[in-house]
Amino acid sequence: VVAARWDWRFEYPGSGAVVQGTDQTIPTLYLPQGVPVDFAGTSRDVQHAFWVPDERFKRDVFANRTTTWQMTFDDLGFHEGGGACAEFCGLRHANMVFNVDVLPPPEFHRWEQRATEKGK
Amino acid sequence: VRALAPPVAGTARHRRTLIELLASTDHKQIGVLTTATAFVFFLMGGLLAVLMRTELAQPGMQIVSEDTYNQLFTMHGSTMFYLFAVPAAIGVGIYMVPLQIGAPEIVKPRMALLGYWLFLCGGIIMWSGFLTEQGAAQFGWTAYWPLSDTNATPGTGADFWIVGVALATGGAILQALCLMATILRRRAPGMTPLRMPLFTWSELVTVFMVLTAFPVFLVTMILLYVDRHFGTVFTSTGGPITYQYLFWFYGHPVVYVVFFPLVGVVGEVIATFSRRRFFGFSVTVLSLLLFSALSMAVFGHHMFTTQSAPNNYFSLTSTMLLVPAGIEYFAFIATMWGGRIQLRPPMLFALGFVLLFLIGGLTGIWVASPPLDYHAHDSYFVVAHFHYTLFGGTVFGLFAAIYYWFPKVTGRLLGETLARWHFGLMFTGALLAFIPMFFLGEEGMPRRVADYLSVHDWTTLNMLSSVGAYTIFTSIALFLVNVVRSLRGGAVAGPDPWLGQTLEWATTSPPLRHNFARLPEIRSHTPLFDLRERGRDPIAELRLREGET
Repeated sequence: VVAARWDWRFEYPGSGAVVQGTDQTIPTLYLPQGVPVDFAGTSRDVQHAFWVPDERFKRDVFANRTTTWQMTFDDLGFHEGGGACAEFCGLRHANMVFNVDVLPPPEFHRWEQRATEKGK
Repeated sequence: VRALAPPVAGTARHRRTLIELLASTDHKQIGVLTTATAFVFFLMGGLLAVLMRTELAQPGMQIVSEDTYNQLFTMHGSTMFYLFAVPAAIGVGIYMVPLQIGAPEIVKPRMALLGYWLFLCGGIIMWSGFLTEQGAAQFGWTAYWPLSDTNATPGTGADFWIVGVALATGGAILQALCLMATILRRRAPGMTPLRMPLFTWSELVTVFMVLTAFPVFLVTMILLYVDRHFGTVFTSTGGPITYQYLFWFYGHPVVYVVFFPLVGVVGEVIATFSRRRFFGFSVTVLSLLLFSALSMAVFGHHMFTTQSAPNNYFSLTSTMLLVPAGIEYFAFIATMWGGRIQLRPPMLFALGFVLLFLIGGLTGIWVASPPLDYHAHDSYFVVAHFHYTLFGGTVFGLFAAIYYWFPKVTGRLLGETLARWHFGLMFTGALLAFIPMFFLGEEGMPRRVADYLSVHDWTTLNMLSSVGAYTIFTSIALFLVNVVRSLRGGAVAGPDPWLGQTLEWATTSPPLRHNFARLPEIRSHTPLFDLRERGRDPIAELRLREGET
């Protein structure tokens, strides 16, 4: 997870897939259902916080520092605005949200492959 | 009864000039100035809150831009802490503590006056940020680094904020020093430490915390200013985490600084209007000391989600706060138990304090426990939690103090009917405004956001909360009307309208320049109560009627 004012970037180190939000579009975090997912987070600028309220968990991310956490997502389906930055980070902090899409593992791997090819 | 001075001749009141008003070395004048100025800042900060609640009532941006909104919440929080709660908590002490311990003056009144001037200038400087090109500061009352560096928050408004906060903090330190020296050195003969009233004790414990935590914060603000203008301070020393430790070493004790004096007030109000001595007096004093010692060791619970704080330790210390808080609540209830309770205005606000702070205290369990805090942290849950401690606690306690001591300070009672309306509306407003925030936070609304997505269906809760804010606003307007009307034509209070227990009621209302003509003997923390218990009338014995104007 890379946070920067005021967007999220989700990199999948296993496959090289990348999701990047823009000023106009909210990024979506794609995840496999029921599998523990290891996260490593950092920031490009000020402090942000990665929060998925449905999972009742958040962790701060900082520049020049990596924080780590693990989450397991059981709640299948697309959650619009399912995640947000919880640490005030300046002008457009309120818009720094992301969607969460929890897919069954086979479907997730198909998405990951497509995203990887598109990335190349 | 001991005579201190011959009855003062020629006490006819004359209208004070502006210089006399602003440069008096009378501790009562300094106390009134500090508290009244703080109250003006309370009104200004409250106005910002009303604007914020209007913007948040519906999704989408309606009345202000995101940029302005960020200024509003920063200045709301900063004003309420640095310019209202802290100076008010100390200012009431500057007025009342010498009266409660039978002293004619405070130690170093000019230093206390300088403290007031620093606070006033700090406030004006901080607010003049609104007049600058980029507007006022917009990094929250916490000014987390690196959000507060010149890259992320350029502009003069942010500099004004830092300078203003530093000046106000310096002022608070000076006033706290005077207060501590007065309590330690100027007590009347017979006034041993355990005969000091509960409010004086709470102020003593408060100034201990001020003198321990505030200098650290003053240095932090200077470092932040240096970091912005003369080179990097925090980048070379571990950065954001260092700043957070420095900030919260001040930032947690300060919430007790603005809370303890009101615990003292509420304790005395409950005892007075239950017609009993305060139950468990020395244990409560001990619990205040324990509370303040612990307050220095809980600050890390603001950093549970950073993965850089020893969470177990800070969770333990934070949860231990339940012990002294529980003792105080037990003492409040035990004092009322079996007492003859009179629901006069100060007592209403004291009961409001007890009930609403209970909500704030119990929801503190969420933020003291890391697994729960991982969800609640930086959400509206936290906003609701600390508004029950700061609004339900500090503001209700302060109104209990105002209704209780207004007759002493001005010589006139505040109107009772308007006071009841004020209480009813403010209590309803406090429930309506802040209860929905618990649910919003639980459902995932982060704090400090100017807007939220309409998919979340948070509109009803936000609307309720905004209606609550308007209700509070209305109640405060009624209070102001009451003050103006009572100053002009309120009932004359006399020296002791409530059958008080402590020394401030053993003098005229308002008190003489040097406070007392005579003092009763001091054998406990409730000298006037002792006399009445033995069937004597302290007011007649002190020959106070003749000194009244």
